[in-house]
Amino acid sequence: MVRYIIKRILYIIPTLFIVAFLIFFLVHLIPGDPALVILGEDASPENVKVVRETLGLDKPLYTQFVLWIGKVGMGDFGRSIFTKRPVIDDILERFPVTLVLTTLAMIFSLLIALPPGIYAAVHHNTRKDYTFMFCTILGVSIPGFWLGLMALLFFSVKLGWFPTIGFVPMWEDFFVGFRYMVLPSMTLGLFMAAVVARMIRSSMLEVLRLEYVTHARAKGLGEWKVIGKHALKNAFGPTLTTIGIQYGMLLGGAVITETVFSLPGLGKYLVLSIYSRDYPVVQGCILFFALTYMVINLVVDILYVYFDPRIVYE
Amino acid sequence: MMTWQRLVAHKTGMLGLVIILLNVSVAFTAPWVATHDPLGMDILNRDAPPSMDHIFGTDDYGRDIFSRVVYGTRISLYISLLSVLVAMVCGIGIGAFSGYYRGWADTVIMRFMDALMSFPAILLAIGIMAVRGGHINNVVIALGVVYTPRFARIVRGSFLSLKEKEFVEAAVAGGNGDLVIIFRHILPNCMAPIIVQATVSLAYAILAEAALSFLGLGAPPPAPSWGNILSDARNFMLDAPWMTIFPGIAITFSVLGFNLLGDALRDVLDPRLK
Amino acid sequence: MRSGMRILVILAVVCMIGFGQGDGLVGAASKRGGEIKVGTNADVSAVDPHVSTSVPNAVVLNHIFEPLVCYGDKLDFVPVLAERWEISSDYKTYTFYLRKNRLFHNGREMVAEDVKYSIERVMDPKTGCPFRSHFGKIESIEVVDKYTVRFHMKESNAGLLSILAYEHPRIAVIPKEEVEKQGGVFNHPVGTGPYAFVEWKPDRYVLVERFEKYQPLPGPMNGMGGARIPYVDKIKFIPIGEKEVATMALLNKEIDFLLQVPFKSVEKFRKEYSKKGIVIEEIPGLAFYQIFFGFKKPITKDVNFRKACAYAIDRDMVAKAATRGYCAVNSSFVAVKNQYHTPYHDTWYKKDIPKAKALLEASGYNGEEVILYTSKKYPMMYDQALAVQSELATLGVKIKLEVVDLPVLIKKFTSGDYQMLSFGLGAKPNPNLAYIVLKMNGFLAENPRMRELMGQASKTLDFETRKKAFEECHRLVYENVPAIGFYNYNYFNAYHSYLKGFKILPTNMPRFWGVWLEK
Repeated sequence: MVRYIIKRILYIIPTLFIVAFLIFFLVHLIPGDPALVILGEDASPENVKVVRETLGLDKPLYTQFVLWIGKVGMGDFGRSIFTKRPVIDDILERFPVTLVLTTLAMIFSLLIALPPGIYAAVHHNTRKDYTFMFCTILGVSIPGFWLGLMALLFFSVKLGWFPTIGFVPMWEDFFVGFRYMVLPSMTLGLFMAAVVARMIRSSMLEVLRLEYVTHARAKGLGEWKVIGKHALKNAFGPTLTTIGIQYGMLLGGAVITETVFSLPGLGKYLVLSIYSRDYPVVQGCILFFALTYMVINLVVDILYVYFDPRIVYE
Repeated sequence: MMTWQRLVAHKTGMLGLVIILLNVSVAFTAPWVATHDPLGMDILNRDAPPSMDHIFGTDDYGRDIFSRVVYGTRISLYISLLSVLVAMVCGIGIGAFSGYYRGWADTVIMRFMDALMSFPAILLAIGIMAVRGGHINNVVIALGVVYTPRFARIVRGSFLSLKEKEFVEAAVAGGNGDLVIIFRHILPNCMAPIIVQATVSLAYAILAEAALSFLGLGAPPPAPSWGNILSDARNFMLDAPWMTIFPGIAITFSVLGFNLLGDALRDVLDPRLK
Repeated sequence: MRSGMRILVILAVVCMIGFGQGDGLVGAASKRGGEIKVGTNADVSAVDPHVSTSVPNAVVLNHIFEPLVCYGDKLDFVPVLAERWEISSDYKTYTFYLRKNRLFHNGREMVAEDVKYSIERVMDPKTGCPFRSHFGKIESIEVVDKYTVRFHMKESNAGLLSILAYEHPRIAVIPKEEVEKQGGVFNHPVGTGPYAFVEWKPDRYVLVERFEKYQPLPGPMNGMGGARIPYVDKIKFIPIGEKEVATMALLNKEIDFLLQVPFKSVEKFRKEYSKKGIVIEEIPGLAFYQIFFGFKKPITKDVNFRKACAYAIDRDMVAKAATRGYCAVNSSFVAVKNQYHTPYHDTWYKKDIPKAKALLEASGYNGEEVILYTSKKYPMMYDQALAVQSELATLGVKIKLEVVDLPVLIKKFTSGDYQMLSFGLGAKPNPNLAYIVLKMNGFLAENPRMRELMGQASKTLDFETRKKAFEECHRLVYENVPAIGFYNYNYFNAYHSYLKGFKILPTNMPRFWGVWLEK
């Protein structure tokens, strides 16, 4: 068991290295020069040269890569070209926002998805099931930013239930902060809810057919106990994996949601820094996102063992 | 075939198919269905609400939104079909090679695929678009790259389990070359999950294009992609909400079609899940 | 009138005058208090004034710092930290006499040493000030005595005052010990302005609060100078990227002031939102948008082609497309509201398709595609490009629109590597700084007379000489069409009616001193 965990952790390192390699060269292929963005219309060749030298952009590409990767290993992601602050500081300041957003979205989606998903599985092939399926499919078909803007228009402007802008961290003031996060996390979570609901339904269906369920029923166990203790626990495994994979979608969706709702998260920061060609920030952010995704999946894989111990021996 | 019959009998799946066919036919007949030139500006008539002349109203440059949405069908279909095709070809190739030959090549390749998949899809697409610049074919490439690992994984997984089966042994014994075995014997048996993944990817591609356009990284304006129309309209949500409703419905509708069909295919092709 | 009454009347008049000027104590006290929340469209990129470059930074930093000299409402030079100055007749020596008792936010008095330190920090390559080269013309800075500082220029240069005024707050006067305490990067800036920096939460807001020991300067509010009376306790600058969301936030009273109102919303603000107590202010601006021609590429390097385009494009139509008419149509590099603008600067081509066609033929245009670069980041840049494309289509010129990212556009612009490019310039009170961009597309290289004129204008502060020089500059622009300018657009600010005393500037730099809340 412990060996399995260690193996999984070690697995992350080479993957991360490849990711870093890909990121660096991807980012440096982006046309446009950050020196010019900084200088704007006041860019004269002398100014540009000075700025480029200050930023270290005049060194050959592979040298820049080696320097960067070395520092990253030490936890130094370099300095932002624009703010001159350490990238890692900027990332760590914004990352909790994205984390809270995606986690809340995940919680909302589970709350929304699990009951109907289980219900539909149990009432399989009935009208209720079909309606449910249709609703979930609709849920995954709506573009996120459209939903976000509509939600703002309706719930914030027309009804005045939620603020349109602003952010207070939930660790500073739980209830006020929560109020700022409700609309964004529900918008983000809706898509995920639909996916999770479908997943839980199909795994439940699969499990409900299996012999040991019939056996449990034959034993005379109450239906709820059958569903809750036996079926659900086993069905949850694949659902958990899906959740892990879907977390990647949440991280991606966070980019859009943060832009629409003006949340000071990592996703919005990444997009803004792509526009301004702030290379160190872009690289650092993407690397951080990748790392987060890998860690989440690691956690999921470990939790999976609880639901399906057989996996350790594969 | 049993599967075809069951597919036709699947009500929601058929609804999905109808939606898709509707989309395709609008895409083909766009010049006749559209009422105006989708790029034709009419500054004096900007931001007009829906009327007899402009069924969906006009946008900020006076362009007819209905015609733009109609022509947008072409762009979304082009992007989604082509990018999934690219992803399928690359993914199947990589997955088949990896699953069949195993060994260290398999490990390296799969590690690479894992690395690609560890980027949230949108971020990878954003990155590629930023590098290559705004062009409709770059969106195809970006999305193609994003989906390739998913296909590769599925194909490799299927190959791993199928390779041990008897019919493969028989084919080998019959003296068939590797390529023949891969493409003629094993691959046809993996088609089910590939097809399902394809419809899922088609649906996501349309949403992804919309998201990229929202961030200004999609097909460059003035192309009337649905994402662009929606993105242009977002500055008018308070003043002219109709501008967002129609492209939004178009996107949702099309994605719905692919999802319904995909679900039906999943139900039909993998009876265990029914 | 009886003498008693007379005395009372005189007293009353004196009181009114006294209170009217600089707001007497009673009036001031009742106005004090409150917090203003300002919605901007982008976050600051840094709070160190010498590193900041962008407009969002200036919006905030204007409240924290004071310059030596600034531009007044009428674009005259207003002394701020400097009480007066003397310029040697050869424009090589500038002597600034500083005001006394200007306190930094840390309590220390600002002296000549600080000016020397600040400007030298700007000139130091290690600081990374993007506008370092503007100050490269300074030979040395001398501290004459506690309140006198002298600039020695390398050669005759009449532009120092305008650089000092234009670049504010980016070349603010700062105290050395604070910078050193913070290890060289000024993360908690300290200045002499009416508001002191409190905190910057990136992507969330910048907060400043009143500096209690601030002494407003004499005279009425004038540009960035004059009496800057901090009535409100705090100002919070909140960046909101989505324009519709910003409007929603204003309607919801989540912000009190919106810095930029999109043109398309102006009507709605005036008709509908005004009923909800929202005020919208308009002012003609000093910034421009133009289409530039590249002198290094085929067809656009031919003056006949450029003139043909000028004859073919209806500027009013382009202006309407891009600004909905909220602008002043102007093709000169001297803005309409600029003090150097004379009726001569209105000279331009009237739409004349036959003439245009003749010139087009003379240029040898063969129906090939001409590429016009633009970006979607600034709507006006994009809208005018679309309009130009459609106008030139009627002439038979095929324009291909290449929409690129802003950094790529800037790169193209500065290198001159394009045929046509849609671009915008910020306010340039000194027209020299506007004409200098014509170096980048290759026009100045071809036109020695233009360079001569600009040199002339830069060597003097005499209004008449400069005025004449700029008029001739415009004549050269008119004859050679290196660029087609379209308009100086208007700025719109919107805010709730309980916010009083606000006066908009033609540079759209908001001033929240002299502003109070009546809730």
